[in-house]
Amino acid sequence: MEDYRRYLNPQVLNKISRLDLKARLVVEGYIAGLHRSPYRGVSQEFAAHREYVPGDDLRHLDWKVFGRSDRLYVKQYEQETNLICYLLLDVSESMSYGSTTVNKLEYSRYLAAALSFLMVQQQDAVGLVLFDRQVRKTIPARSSTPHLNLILKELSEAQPTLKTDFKAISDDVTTHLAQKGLVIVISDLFDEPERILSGLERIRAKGQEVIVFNILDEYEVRFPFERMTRFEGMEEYPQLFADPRTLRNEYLKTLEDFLSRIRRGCLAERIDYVRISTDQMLDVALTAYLAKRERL
Amino acid sequence: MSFVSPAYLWLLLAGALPVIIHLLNRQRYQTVRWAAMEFLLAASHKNRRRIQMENLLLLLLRVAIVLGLAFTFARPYLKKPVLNALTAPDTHLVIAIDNSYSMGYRDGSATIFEQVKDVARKLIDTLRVDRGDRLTLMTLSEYPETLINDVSLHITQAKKRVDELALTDYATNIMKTLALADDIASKSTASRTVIYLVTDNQKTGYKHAEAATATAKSELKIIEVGSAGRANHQVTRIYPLNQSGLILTGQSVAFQVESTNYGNKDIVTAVNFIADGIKQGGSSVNIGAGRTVSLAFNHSFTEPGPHWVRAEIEKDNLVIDDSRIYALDIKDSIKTLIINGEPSAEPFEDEVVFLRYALSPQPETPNSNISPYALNIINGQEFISTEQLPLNNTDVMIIANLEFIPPGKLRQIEEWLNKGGGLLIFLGDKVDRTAYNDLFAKGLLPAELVEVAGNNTDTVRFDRIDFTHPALTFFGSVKEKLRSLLIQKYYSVKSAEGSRVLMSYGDTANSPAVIEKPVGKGRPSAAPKPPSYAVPKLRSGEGQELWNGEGWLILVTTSADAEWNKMPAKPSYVMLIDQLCRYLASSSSLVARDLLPAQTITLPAGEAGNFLMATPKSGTVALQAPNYKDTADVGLYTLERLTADRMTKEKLSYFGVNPEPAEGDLRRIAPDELRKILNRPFELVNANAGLTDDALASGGQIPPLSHLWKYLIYLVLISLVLELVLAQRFGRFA
Repeated sequence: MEDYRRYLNPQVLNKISRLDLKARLVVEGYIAGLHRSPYRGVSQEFAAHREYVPGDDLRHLDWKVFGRSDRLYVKQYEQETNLICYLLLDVSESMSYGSTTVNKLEYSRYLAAALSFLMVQQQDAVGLVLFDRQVRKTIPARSSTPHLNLILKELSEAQPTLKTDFKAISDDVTTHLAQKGLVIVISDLFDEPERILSGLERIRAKGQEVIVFNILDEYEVRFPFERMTRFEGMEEYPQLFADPRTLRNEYLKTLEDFLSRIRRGCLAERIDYVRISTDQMLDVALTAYLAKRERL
Repeated sequence: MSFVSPAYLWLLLAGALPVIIHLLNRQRYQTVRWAAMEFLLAASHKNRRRIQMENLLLLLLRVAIVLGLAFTFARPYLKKPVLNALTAPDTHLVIAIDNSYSMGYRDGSATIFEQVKDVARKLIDTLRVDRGDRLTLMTLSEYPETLINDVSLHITQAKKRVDELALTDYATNIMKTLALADDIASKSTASRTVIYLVTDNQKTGYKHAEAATATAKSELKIIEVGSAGRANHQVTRIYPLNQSGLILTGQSVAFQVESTNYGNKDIVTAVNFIADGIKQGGSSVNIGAGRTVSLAFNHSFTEPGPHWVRAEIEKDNLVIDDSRIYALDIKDSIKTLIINGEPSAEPFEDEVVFLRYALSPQPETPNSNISPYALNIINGQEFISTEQLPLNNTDVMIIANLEFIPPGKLRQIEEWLNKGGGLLIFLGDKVDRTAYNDLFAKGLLPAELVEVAGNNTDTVRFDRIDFTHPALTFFGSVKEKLRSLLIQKYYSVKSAEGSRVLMSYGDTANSPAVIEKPVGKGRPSAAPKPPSYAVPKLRSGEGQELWNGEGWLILVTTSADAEWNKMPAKPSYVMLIDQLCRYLASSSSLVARDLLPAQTITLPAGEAGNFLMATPKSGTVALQAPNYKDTADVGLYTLERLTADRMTKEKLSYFGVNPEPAEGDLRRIAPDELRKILNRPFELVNANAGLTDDALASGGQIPPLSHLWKYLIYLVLISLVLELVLAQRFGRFA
């Protein structure tokens, strides 16, 4: 039997070309490792009967009740109460950095695809917003397989472009969020922390639950360079010629300050903050999502 | 600074390696497109200055490590103990420079004295003014002298003083010098005192070694200069073979000349004999290695007065001891004044008739070759009536059976005695015992007269004869001759303390017959021995008075004629009188005129007039003090006196100042022997055995504190650890 769990490894996943297949493999691999099913409400369990009103889908009529009592009742199922979830994926230039074959954007794609697949599987509606300094693409939340395919297509076509401006796009995004639901932000968050936090605040203000997946490359976290290096800045930053060893401590400190500030900001807003390095297995993100989903 | 292995200094070029590596590293860089640029820029901006400083510090450290290693391999050390300034205590150097005459030995083109000065200059160079070092500069010889003993050190002055230092004609006396140096060192307040003896380290320089056993706190370093097997030959002594020391004109005197070869090989050399500047004879002589050979040269002087003779040997590398001078006085006659206490017209009744014939068989022809005596006989009456006794022209005075000496005459005689006269007193029946005992009380008689002993019938002979006395040594080989003399009457006497009994009578009491007493300080009881290899006691002291102008007095307790004895009947009588008179007359010629440098010449007491001294090197100087002390130079000294009209000069005496013979023995002392003599820790360094500048600093080896490589190793290790720690800390551990 094929060990699906290995598809949780981004490096393995990278070898598979189709994103839909990747997403399925991730989820299957993830679920194969769990002892009980995580699906909730996705079962076709009967919940209650209600009287038929014109417009109801005739497929849901309980013909057995009609045969016994000649009255039209419609069977009601739990899945109708499912969640509306938006994935906010950062496609700025900085996301294109990767010390290995899987860069941050690629990793984020897998993550987004896997989450979308998982959501659609359990009848949750999933929408997608691609952004950099502005919203690049918005797909409204739906919970159908064709919709999933659309999302996966958009994900695979997403290209890194400009600098991130999370605050700017948060205004745009909130207009789409009519219902209460879940917003999952997938980004390296390389922007000013005030702008990021204020953007997140606005989304929270709309009554949305938020999970932030902070995607970082392993090299960004460890800064393991030894040789003299010319660092060419992405997102319009200038280049820097330096001995990385002289800068490592200070760089790591600056980065840690930044990250901890974001984390504290998230904590204050009761936002789930999950820092993920691109060398980590994808199940970290899925577990974080499912834990959150359970609480909703 | 010097290096043990200077070839390794090429490694210093490796000091450029860290810089080159740094530059190469800058060339070989990678390019990374970087997302988290704002954090990197912030870090770079914040630390740019610090990073530059850290980079520079690390670079310097790495360069220092490489340079330090290169230096370590080259093993540097300091010529001067510079490090001592930080770590070592202030030092007081006491440098004793041997300037004895043996240092005048020519070793190649220069004397070894130049080598000694060279060593001294190098020693002075090791001193540090800033450390508060002090210097005592002194000479090493029989008469050590402190040249510089300064709290404030002036190196230039000290070296100038060394340059100016001249050789002396003195012998070496290391123990005496060391005692002085120890004394100076013990008074020093410096934390460390080092005594340097820079010398040729002769064995003979360690005389009187038993005198100095110092428990000194100062370090002692002996630096030997000159090659080890230096040969030398010298005239060791020259002296007349003459028992009494009295030499008369026309008398042939044999001068004994001893020459010593201190070398390891036999030599054939010429020995010349010079009298008053004219060569009289010469002889070729073969002297075995380490041997002394004696040659005799006969010479007779025709003129009375002061004379000198010199023996010369062929010149070698040490010239000063190749000749010696002996100065002496020659008399044409022994001027004898006889006071006749009992004159008589009868030839055999006269008191002094036998004396006269004994001394001068032909009184009518004085100064004939038969007798050296020139007699002047005065009767007792005349003696009393004469105002002034003719003592100035008298060598010996004989008083025979004189009743008493009037006080005026006594004063004249006493004065004359003090100038070196010799007085012979015979007793007899005329003698006033009380008057003579007054003389005894005044110290002018060797014995107190008690009573007349004996009778005309019985005779006694001389007994207990002191043949060691110079006046009687003549009889040593014919002892019975003296014992053949018969005596009937004599004064029994009680000899005073300090008197010497030459002969006694063979009576029961052994009454003294001939008694001698020095007047004033007297003179040596024996003729001065010629200077011997071992320095005689007479000469060892500084300022010894060698002019012993004081006289002697001999009392014969029987009569001069045949009245109390039958002596004149025997030929021995003539010999006895002659020997006694010669002995007494020799007082002025016995003056030791063979001196060692720096011994004092005492001028004859009571001589009126202005004295001049013609010296071998300093010209003629006028003398004021009764002593002449400037006899540092070897050579001939001439004592002269200006006559009353101050127009002419009269030669009084010659003095020969000769080098101490022992100093000519250049053989070194063996280290074992030295250890025994010094009886204290010391370091022996040979300047010829590759003595480097650095060896001088502590003697024989590079001073430990000047070895820098150990410190460099520490420095490199510390730098390495520091580099590691800093690189780690700066995040550049690679």
